[in-house]
Amino acid sequence: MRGWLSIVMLAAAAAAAYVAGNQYVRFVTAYIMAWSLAVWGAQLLLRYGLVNFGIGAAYAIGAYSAGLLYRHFGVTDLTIHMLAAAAAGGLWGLLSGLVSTRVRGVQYALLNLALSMVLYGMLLKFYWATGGSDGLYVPTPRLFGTPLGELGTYLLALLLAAAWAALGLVYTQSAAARLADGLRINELRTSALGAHVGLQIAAASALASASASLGGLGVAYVTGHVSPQYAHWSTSGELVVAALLSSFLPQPWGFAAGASVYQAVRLLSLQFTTPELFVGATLLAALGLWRYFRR
Amino acid sequence: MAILSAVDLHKSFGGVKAVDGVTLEVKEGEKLAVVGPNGSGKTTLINLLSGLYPPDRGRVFLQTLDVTKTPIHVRVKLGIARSFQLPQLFPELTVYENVAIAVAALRGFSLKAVHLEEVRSILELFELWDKRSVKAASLSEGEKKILDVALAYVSRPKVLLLDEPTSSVAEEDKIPLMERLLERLRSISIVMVEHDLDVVERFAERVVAMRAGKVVAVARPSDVKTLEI
Ligand SMILES: Nc1ncnc2c1ncn2[C@@H]1O[C@H](COP(=O)(O)OP(=O)(O)O)[C@@H](O)[C@H]1O
Ligand SMILES: [Mg+2]
Repeated sequence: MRGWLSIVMLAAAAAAAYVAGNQYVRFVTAYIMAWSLAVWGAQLLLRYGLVNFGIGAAYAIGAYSAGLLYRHFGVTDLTIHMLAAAAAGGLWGLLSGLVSTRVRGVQYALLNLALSMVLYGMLLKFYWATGGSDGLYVPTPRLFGTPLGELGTYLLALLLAAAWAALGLVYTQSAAARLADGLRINELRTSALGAHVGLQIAAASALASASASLGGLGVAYVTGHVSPQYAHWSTSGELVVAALLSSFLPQPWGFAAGASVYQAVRLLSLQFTTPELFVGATLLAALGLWRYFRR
Repeated sequence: MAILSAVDLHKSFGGVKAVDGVTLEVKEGEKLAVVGPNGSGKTTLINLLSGLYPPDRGRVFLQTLDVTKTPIHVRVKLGIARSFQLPQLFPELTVYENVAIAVAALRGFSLKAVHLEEVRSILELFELWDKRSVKAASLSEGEKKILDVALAYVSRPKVLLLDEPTSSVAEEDKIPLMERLLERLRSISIVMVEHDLDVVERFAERVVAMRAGKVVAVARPSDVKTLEI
């Protein structure tokens, strides 16, 4: 009950931010809400003990779904974009999940990183289709023929974030989540209790990638643009870091809170001449504080 | 009628013939003990019967069904469950959560919650309900053994394979532990690997003795102390 209430309250707060904030605040908030769906996906996999340094691939697939549909077919319909992004992202997750069912730990991270770099390379190379390093323009989507505009896009991001918080709440209490804990802690025992390890991981991977894909789609709507950078391993790295932060924050909003903390630090860092130093130092400080208070 | 049978099972690790031509039958409802010195291949036999890994040669049957190539998670659903010599638990989770994982393991990728009653019935059966909020790592050795068996029992197996259910339990606690377990498992077939001959004499109905990967004797429990093992 408290979980559901917190979803309503935070959604109301995000709506208030639109009313009270200026254009910059609206842009950043919409960006973070959309981006948080990709963090949700990375966080889901963490529950299985899987650190996916290739989650950016799924994130890019969602954004390119809209970019490509518009460039080659002139499609601007929101429903079609979302269905395409969810299906393509889910399929990518299913296939990459099946390919990596037999590897764990560092090997899993590297295999998925490699898969994402293959996609990154293809996005760069096939200029005629993808616009190469320039990327693609992503138009404001239309719902029933009407362009969403700034408010509509904001509401879309808000609804998606709230829906994913709800999905997270349902998932956390589910049999699938119990199994995720089992697989993370003692995979041998979990399979000896009857769990089909490959199926569980492939399903989780499909769900995580579909989320990341919808997140990428949302960010592309907010920024109006997609580039191969979406699939770059450093994007995956940012999502994984935000997901790690999320797992220390209260649920079911942890994923959005982690996304907010990470993006706030990143935006602040742009004030400095060496932003990476600021991000690194902040993360170190956060880790230090966490260890100090956990004792 | 045999519920579980092994036909000429072989398994080697490098040059070591861990299981070397084992043939045996477990009868419906039977309590079969497997005895033998350390390294004689008892655990490997349990691993082959449960499907943890495939044999190099030979077959495993559940009743008339050939399950030799059936993976472990499918064998569980067909009715073969097991415990482990070193209890395989989820140490940092509570007893309740441990059993909830076992319940969830029998489902597909399900977004439905695990029902409290399903967990409760198992924990009450094994008298662990009062410990439900205790972390598995904090249980006594005997309780860990019981929880390991309780997890296996969640699938309501036809055959339960117990690998040294009383090892690492204090001498005087072995018999009470087995009483507590077997009282609840009366109706199902059990294969138990057991070192303690008092336990074997008291709880087994038939004994298979192994040495160097081979079955060297099949005996009645009352004769077990006279076996050269
Ligand atoms: N996974 C394995 N890898 C290598 N050798 C193994 C493995 N499992 C068992 N063995 C070897 O097989 C033989 C039988 O072991 P095991 O089945 O554990 O005996 P027991 O349970 O009767 O003590 C031993 O020599 C052991 O070292
Ligand atoms: Mg053994």
